Formats: sequence, C-alpha cells, structure tokens
Amino acid sequence: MGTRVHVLLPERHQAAVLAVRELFANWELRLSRFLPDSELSRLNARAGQPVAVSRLLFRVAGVAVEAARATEGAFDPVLGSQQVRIGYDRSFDEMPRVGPAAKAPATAGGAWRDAVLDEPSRTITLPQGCALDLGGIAKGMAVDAAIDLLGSRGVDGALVSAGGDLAVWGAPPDGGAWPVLVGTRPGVQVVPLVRGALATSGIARRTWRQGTAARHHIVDPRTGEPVESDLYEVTVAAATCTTAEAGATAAFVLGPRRGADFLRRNGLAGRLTRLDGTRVLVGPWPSPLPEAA
Amino acid sequence: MSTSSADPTLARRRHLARVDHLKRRITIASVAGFAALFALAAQHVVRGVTGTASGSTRSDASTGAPRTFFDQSGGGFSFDDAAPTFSQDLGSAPPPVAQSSVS
Repeated sequence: MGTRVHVLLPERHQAAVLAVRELFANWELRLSRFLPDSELSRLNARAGQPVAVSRLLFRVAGVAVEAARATEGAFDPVLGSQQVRIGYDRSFDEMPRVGPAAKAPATAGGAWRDAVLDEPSRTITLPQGCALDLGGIAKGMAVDAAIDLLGSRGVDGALVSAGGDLAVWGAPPDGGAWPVLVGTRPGVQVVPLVRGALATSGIARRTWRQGTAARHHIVDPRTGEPVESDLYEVTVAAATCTTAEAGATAAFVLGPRRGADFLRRNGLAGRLTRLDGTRVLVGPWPSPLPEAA
Repeated sequence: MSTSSADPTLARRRHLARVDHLKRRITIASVAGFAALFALAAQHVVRGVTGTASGSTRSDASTGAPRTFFDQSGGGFSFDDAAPTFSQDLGSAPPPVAQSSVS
C-alpha cells in the first residue's frame, strides 16, 4: 500500500500486532496494482473478460463500486489506466519526481458503471482498457478489518493507522478520547476522537511533474486528469475508515462547496482546507479553541 | 358406586390436578410459542441482513441499489465534546497519538 501502518494497543495484547501485520501483508499481496503478480494486477491484465477472483478481491471491489454509486461517481475505483497515464505507474517511493509528458490524451472515468461483479461465479469483468485501483479504499477496509480483528481477540482499546487513515476501538489507556493530529502545518488541529475513523485526502504528498504539468494522485473522474481545485486537503470523520476514505476523496473531487454539501447530506463530519489556508468545518467537527495571541 | 363422584374431596383434588396440568401445558405452549416467535423474528433479521449484504445474485455495477453506504444519520463516530480541541498553537494541547494526514 506504499504506506506505514501504526498500531497502538495495550502492551499485554502485543502479540495481536503480528496478526495485524499479517493481515496488511496479505491484502497488499492481493490488492496492490504495483505488484505485477498480485491478484488485482492479473485481473487488470485481463480486462474485457470475466475473471474468477478470491473472496477478498470480490468483496473489496464490491465495496469500491458501492462507494462509487453512493458518491455518484465522485469516488471512482476504475481509474487505474488514468493513473498510469499521468505517470503514477509504480509505488510512489519508486517514481521519478520528474517524468516525460503524457503520450495519450486523457479519458474520463465512470467505467465502474460497466464493471460486472457476478456473485454466483465470483467473477469480475472490467471494461476493456480499464483498470481497478483499490489503493485508498483497500487501505480503509484493511484498517477496519484490523480493528475487527483486534476486537475479536479481546483487545479493549486500539488505534490502527495506515498512512494517516485511521480508526479507533475502545478507549485509550487513560480513558477519554484519542487525541489525533489533523492536517499539515500551517493549520493543524488536535481533535479528541472517541469512536469511529478519520481519513484525509489531499495534495500535501504524492506530487510530481510530468513534462511541464504539475501532477498529484487524486484524479477527477470527469476529466481523467488530476483534480483542479482550490482545496489543499480534506479530512473526514465517519463510522468506518472505509466510508471516511471514500467520503474524503469524493469531497476533494467535488471541491469546497459541493464537497461540504456532500458531507452534510451523508451525515459525515469534515474539515476542508483550501490552498489559501482557510477552512470549512462540516457537521459535528470540533471547533478549535481560539488561537493564542 | 363411583368413588370419584361420591368423594367430593377426591373429585376436587382431581379437578385441581387437571387445572394444574392444564396450566403447565399452557405455560409450556406459551414458552414454545415465544421461542418460535423469537426464532421467526431472528430468522427475519438474519434474512434482512443477508439480503442487504449480498444484494442481488448478479451484482452488476450498472444496476441500481439501495444507497446504504454512508450512515446518513451521522452515527458511528463521535468526538469528545468536553475535551478541548486545539489549533495552530499546540503548546497546551495533549500530545497526539496519531496523525490523520494525506497518505
């Protein structure tokens, strides 16, 4: 997943960390589009024909399509080909920060509508020329799965974070809430999360140049190009990391006004930060204390 | 001469025993009835959950489906309203245990 995973839990449950590590390793092996032998890469290589897949891939792809439907396509999991076109064709750590200009014209997304997930045969048929990119949603789902795993092992308080997409279970050792730092300087905030999950989408990281064009990794399904917005980052609070991740990406794609409306309509809380540093807080997102003079 | 009809005490005992037996049967029937009711209700709930989770047998992405992805009631997450939340000046803030950042 090209990210660091952090697990906070009581020391007496330390052994459970190994199980979480195994879970993430397994998901990575199956669902990474950067590993040529992953199940997802094999599926993408056979777009246009039905491919029998594992329960895990079928489930994650199903949730991704569900997220696309719930966001009316603002979150689009079938943008793998568009990501490759703009140069994001390998793990970000291995990518050159300056690359040659794109060779092909951009194509809009929306192909998730034509993807067929057949439950009885557990096959997925992707439209020809299209590729699934489960990066963000798979990370969110893996965090949720890790939280479930820890809960099933009797862990009474835990926080799992995969590169900043995080979820909590129970209370921290001293009780109360989990203080979580949100945002990047300037404009950080510490919020007391009691339960649920937080996910952030934005352009603070994963930026590069392709020819003369500045690129980042959040593709606008309407254009097939990186989102052009006056947003810098969006953090969303939701019941699960899966929904927080989908909500944050959708809000970023939609922009400050429509993104905030979208979060409100769907009962989510959010913090949208514009490039100029101004912010919009949505739903029950905590208001910060007045800043020190 | 029938003892039962002749001996009112015995007849009363038999009557009470019959009533007691009937009461037990009614109790057992009630318990069984409630158990069956609960079983039906539980089955209904399980079916409801299964139906929501699996959807149609053929899950074509282009077909419509109920939009239940987001919990639109806003449940499932919360912040501690009593705890202060800090911005910019983090000098007096509790040390964060994690960061939600762009990944």
